[in-house]
Parts: sequence; C-alpha cells; structure tokens
Amino acid sequence: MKTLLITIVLGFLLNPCFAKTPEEMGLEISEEVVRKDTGWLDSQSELKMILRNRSGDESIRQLRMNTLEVNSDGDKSLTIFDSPADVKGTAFLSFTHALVPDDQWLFLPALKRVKRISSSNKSGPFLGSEFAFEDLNSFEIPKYKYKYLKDESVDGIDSFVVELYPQYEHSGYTRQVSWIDKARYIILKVEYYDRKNSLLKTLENKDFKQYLDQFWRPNEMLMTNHQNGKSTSLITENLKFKTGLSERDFDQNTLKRSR
Amino acid sequence: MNYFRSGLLVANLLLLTPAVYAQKTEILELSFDQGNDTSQCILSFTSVPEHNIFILDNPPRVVIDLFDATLTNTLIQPPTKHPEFLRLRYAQRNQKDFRLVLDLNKPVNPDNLFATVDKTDRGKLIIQLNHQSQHTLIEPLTQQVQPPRQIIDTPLALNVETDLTGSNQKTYNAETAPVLTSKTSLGAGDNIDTLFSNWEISGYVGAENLGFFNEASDSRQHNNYISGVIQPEFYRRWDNDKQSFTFVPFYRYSQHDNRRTHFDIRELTWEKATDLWELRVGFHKVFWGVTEGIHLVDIINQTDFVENTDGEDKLGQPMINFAWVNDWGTLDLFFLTGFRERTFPGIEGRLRTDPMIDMGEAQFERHGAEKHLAYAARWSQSIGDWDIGLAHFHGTARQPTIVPTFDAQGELTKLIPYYDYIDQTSLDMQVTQGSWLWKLESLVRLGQGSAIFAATGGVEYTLFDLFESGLDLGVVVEYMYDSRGYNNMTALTQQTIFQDDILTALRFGFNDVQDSQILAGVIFDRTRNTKLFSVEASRRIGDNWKAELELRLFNGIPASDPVFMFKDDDHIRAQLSYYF
Repeated sequence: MKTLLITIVLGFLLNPCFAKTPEEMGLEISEEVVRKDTGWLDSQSELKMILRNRSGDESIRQLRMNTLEVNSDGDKSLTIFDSPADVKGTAFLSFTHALVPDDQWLFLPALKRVKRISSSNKSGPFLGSEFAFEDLNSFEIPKYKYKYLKDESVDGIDSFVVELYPQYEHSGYTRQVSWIDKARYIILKVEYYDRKNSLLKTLENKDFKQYLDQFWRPNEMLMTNHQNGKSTSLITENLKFKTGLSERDFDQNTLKRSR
Repeated sequence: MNYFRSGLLVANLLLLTPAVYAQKTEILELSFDQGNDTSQCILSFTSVPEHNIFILDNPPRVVIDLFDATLTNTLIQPPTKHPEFLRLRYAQRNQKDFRLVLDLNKPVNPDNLFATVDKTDRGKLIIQLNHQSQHTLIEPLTQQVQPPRQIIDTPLALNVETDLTGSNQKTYNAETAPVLTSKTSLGAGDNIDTLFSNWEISGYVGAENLGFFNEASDSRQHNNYISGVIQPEFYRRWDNDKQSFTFVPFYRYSQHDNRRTHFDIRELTWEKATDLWELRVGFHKVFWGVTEGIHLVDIINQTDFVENTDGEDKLGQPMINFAWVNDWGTLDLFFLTGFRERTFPGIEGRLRTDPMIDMGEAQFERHGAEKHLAYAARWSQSIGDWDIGLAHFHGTARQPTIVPTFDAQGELTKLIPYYDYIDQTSLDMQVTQGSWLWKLESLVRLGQGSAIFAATGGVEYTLFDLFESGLDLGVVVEYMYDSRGYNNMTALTQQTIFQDDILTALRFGFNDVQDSQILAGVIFDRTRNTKLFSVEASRRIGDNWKAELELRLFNGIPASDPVFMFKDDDHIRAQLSYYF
C-alpha cells in the first residue's frame, strides 16, 4: 500500500501535466504576454474610432495618444481628442497603477481648466463607444486572476484560451476569455461576460503589424456588443515607438498645453 | 505630437539676380531631366526673374515663387514614374508674381536641393535635387552668405552632363548654391508663405436666443434678445512642438444690448516649453480652482460678465507667465501687464442693476502703471490623491466695489465701479478618493475695506455606469462662506452674493454618442432664503453642431440681497453652435 501511495504521489509530481494548476498556467501565459511586450519605452499614435449603431450609422472620433512605459507600475498616457469638433482640444492624462486606483486628469479647453477626475469609472463607455474605460487601460498582471482553459485555434492560429477574473473594484465583468497566440503571445480575441455572467462583448484584434522587429500591435480593434447590436472599431492610423518621450510629457503642465 | 509637427520651415534663400527686372519676364518652357544621383527641373525665361525657392512638407513639395513673371503657354508635367517629381502645379498669384509647386514623391532633405542660375541663353533656372545625402557637396553656411555665382561661359547642356555624371564635382559645387541650408525653426528663415501655411484653424459660430419670462423693471429693457457669436482659433506649432502661437479673437453681436455686443482677444499667446520651464507671453487665460458652485480663487482674468453671469467666461489677460517645473511642484510666476475692466450690460440689457453700472466713470485706487500692473505667483503640486494650489495676487482687484451716487434729493442716480488695489492669498485643494472628490477653496483679501475671508468647499460623488446603462450620476454639495456677511454696506456694494449659501446639484452624463449632459442645481441662501435655480443641458447634433440650453430662476429674493436686481430676470438661454 505504501509503495502504491508513493508511486501515485511521485507520479503526480513528475508528470508535467500535473506540475502546474490551470491557474498557474494561466498566470504564466499572461506573464509571458507582458514580458514579450516590455521595452518599447514610449509610443505615439493617431487613432480613429468608428462608432456604429444597430442600423449601421457611423460616427467618427479622432484622437492621438502618447504612452510612456513605466516599469514596476502602470503606464502613463496622454490622450488628445481631435474630433468631433466641439471636444477638440480636450485632453486626458492618466497614470495607471497595478493595485491602487489610477490617477486621472481632464483638461477642458474652453475654461482652460484641469480637473482631477475619479478613476472609479471602469465599466462606463469611453467617448460613447463600445469600449469601456477598463478595456483601454494598460494591462497589469496584478489586476486579474487567471485560469488556463484549453488550446484552440483562432482563424488557423494555434492559441491558448485563458480566462481572466478582474480583481479591481467597479469592473463591469465577471470574467474575460482571451485567445492568445501560442507563437507570438499576442491577444487575438477576448470575450467579455457581464455582471450577470452572460456574453456582453467580443473584441477582435485584426491585422497585426510588428514594430521594431519585436512588438505586435493590431491595426484594428473591433469591439462588438452582442446585447445592444452596436460596434466600435479602433483603428491605428499611425504608430511609433521609442520616440523619446519623458515623464515631463505626462504632467499637468503638458496637459494644459495639449492640442 | 511630433507627427503633427509640420516641418516645414526650413530656411530659404532669396536669390537676387542683377538682371534688369523692371520689365516683366516671360516663362518660356519647363523641362525635366534625371540622372543616377540627381533630378533636375529646368525653367527657361526671357530673362531670369527674381525668385524664391523653398521646401514644404505634408505633402512634400518644392515651391518656386517668381516675381514679376508671367506665363503665356502651358508647361509640361513631369514624366510618369519620375523618381522624384510627382506633378507640377502652377498659377499666377497676383498681377506680378507667379508660383510653381512641384509635388515630390518623398520628403527631401533641404541640404540636397540646389538652384542654379544660367544666364547664357536669355536665362534659365535649374532646380536640382540630389538623391542621396552623401552627395551633399557644399558647406551650407559659407555658401549661404555668398551670392550665387553665375554660369557665364559653360553651355547649359554641358553643365547638366557634368552634374549628372558627377565627374566634375568641383565645378558643380562652385556653380550651385544650396537653396535651403539650415533647419532653423523660426525667424529670419521663414517667409510669408510658410508663415501662412501649417495653421490649425478651429472654433465655432453660434446663434443664441436669450428670453426673459417677466417684464423688466426698466421700460428700456427687452424681453427677448437674439445674438450671434464667433470665436475662431488660429494655432500653429513649431520647434518640435516646443513653441506655439495661438490667436483666439471673440465677437458677440447682441440685439438691443450695446454692451453685450463686444469684441475681445481671448488669446494671443506665444508659448515656449522646455523640460524645466514654460514661458507664455501675450493675452492668455488661466484658471485656478476646483469647486463647481463659484470660482472663488480664480483671479488672473477679468470676468466677462455680459457673456454669462456664471463667471466662467473671461476676458483675455495680457501677461508674461513663467512656469518653473520641478519635482516639488510647479511654480507659476505671473506679470500681468494690463488691467481689464469687468463688462456690464448696457441700458437696454437685462441682468443689470438699476440704475445701470456706469462703466465709463469707473474709478481706480491706483493710477497709471500701478493700476495696470499686477503680480501673482502660484505653487501647485499633486501628491498621491491630493492636488494642492497655493497662490498670491497683488494688484488691482478684478471684482469692483459698486459705489452709489445720490442727487440732492437723496435719489440714487448712478452706480460707479471702483477698483481697489488688493493683496489676496488663496488655497485650493482637492482630494480624490474613489468616487469621492473633496474640494476646498479659500482666500484672504486685504485692501477692499477690512480684511475679507471667504471659503467654499464640499464634495462631489459620482455613481458611474448606473444600472449598466452608461449613465453617470454625480451629486455635488458645496457650502459658500464670505466674512462680508450680508447686512452691511460692503456686502451690498461688493455684491457678496454667496456669503452663507449651500449648493446642491445633480450632474447627468449620458456617455452617449451625442455626449449629452445635464447639470441641474439650486443655490440656497441659508440666512435670506434666496434660491437660485439653474439647469444647463447640452447635446451634440451630428458631428459639428451642438445645442445648449440654460435656465436660470431667481426665487424669494429679499430687497436686502444684492441679487435683488435680478428678481425679474428669470431667463432661458438657448444656443446652437457650429464647430469647425
């Protein structure tokens, strides 16, 4: 009996299938996604957001976004709105943090006022789009708990399927199911489940392009809301890495000067 | 933001030829040539005119201005699939001058563009583009100061051949002058044409209807006012976005009210920013503060009171503002170089005192330079959840004391604004914790009667994404205190309206495609029971239009309250604006 028990225990320990729990595997895959996407320092991008309603009417938002990679904490970003014309010049400064709430400031050009705003707004729509604020925040490992589900192929690309459970307050989701390309460790698709755990939205990352021979970015992020029939495309029109931005480009003085 | 940098202005060289150009030159012909390392565009004239050549980006192009020149026939387009030249555009600019624009396939380094004047056969101008930077052959600066030498003896054909083979680079060197030599970003190198391009123009025009529910107390006033407003913005940036220039003129025309019909320069600012400091010179607008009910500590700009009574519209303030950016915060120093008087409605306007405030007879405690010059400093810093600002202002007050004058019978005949010379120290801070914003503004003011202490503060709490509908519901509660109280002359003459008042307001943010918002609130005077109701709503229509609605009601005002002058002035303001 004793030998049998030892055999079984040893068998569990030695068999690689049992070496890691699905939770550990999910975490490791996600850490690899983050690790592979480290070292881009900063980026400048021009983005176009196309909002489509149920009947297919489109309206367009244009914005520019500068991002600074911050090691050991969340990234900093400055977003400037170019259109619609009535919000032109409005700018949004955000310091994301892994565990404590983010710091956010809004610049209102008509009043020339910088307003510190609450960062508790996670699930609300960003600019009336199908993207919630939390969908666009920088991805930080401690923000979620993870669970590897299975392997599956997406459009012929061999992928891990990992489930993410938001750990921060005010999330609109119970869970997110992500498809992660096994070879490149990039997120191809995400399904978002609402607070009642029914499928709310699907994000498809399309037309990946590699920058600096290392970093993969989708040309289009298409978010489809299954419950209201609306969708939003976030299209990258121009993207540059390592442009030499510094902390100074992400302070309130710069926010006030943003156009 | 680099990508917006319109790059643009590279310096240019005005090539003056000693030819007689009193008589108009005719452009005869244009031809293109192309070799391994260079591309050429050759213009033939009756005589070479005075010209100016420069490069612009977005799209990349070479602009050739010819002065006192004209064209009688048509010019050919560059050959298709030419490696450098995409197409040619040209037009007579005015009666004298002619412009050619050569669109390029790709941006060109200014060091690689050369212009050569050949005077052998009546006159030719050769624009030459070197393909690779290693073929930059000229020491730019030394050449720039020398006038271009003319090719006298060498026939053009030979010259071109030499250039193309590159076998005789020395000759080629000597005979050409770099068109663009250095990448200065501003200054002498800019010419008028580049100065007028690369502007970002935006702004709005709007039509407004201001309607009053009650008959006015003065028969000269009206019940409805139609008005129009325009506020364009001209903005330009250069020097890697480190420098910018902004010009925002403003004009409102109002029916009946000649004081509300007004023009202002909201902004006319040159700005330079470095890693350590920022400098702004010109008419500018600065906002200080955190609260929603009143903007207590905001003092740099004068209030444009005819534009709106909410105190959020400001007149442009001429200033020199130096901001020193440090780890320990930002220190802003202001040298304010011109005093602006507060605007008040005219005799036919509403929302005014009776008798009206006589702006023409405004009085000042200090005169001359002292009246006009003011100084201010502000330290501001964010530390974790805290945003703090500490400021001091020294100069002529923005808020006047309203001095009544009486006739022999003791009848009130006139109200005159009197601007005291004050010192004001203020603190503003906000603590942001989750969905709660805690706010405080307070000030101490000396020089306007006895020392004044005033404060306002409160809380803003927001329920985000209510019922998963995307709706944000914010609740604002603020208390306002002013040591001037209400039952003394100072309070009345300085229009201390909010001395013991509570604001409660609800803010609805619909977060829809039209960005619909509603802010509804009431300011309640604890001691006098005066209630001011206000509803502000706005919504975008399509991509470029915006509709705004504002309702203000004044309720239960006792005669002792300075707001008594507004007792009949309940009104609704509707504005439809087009943004461009």
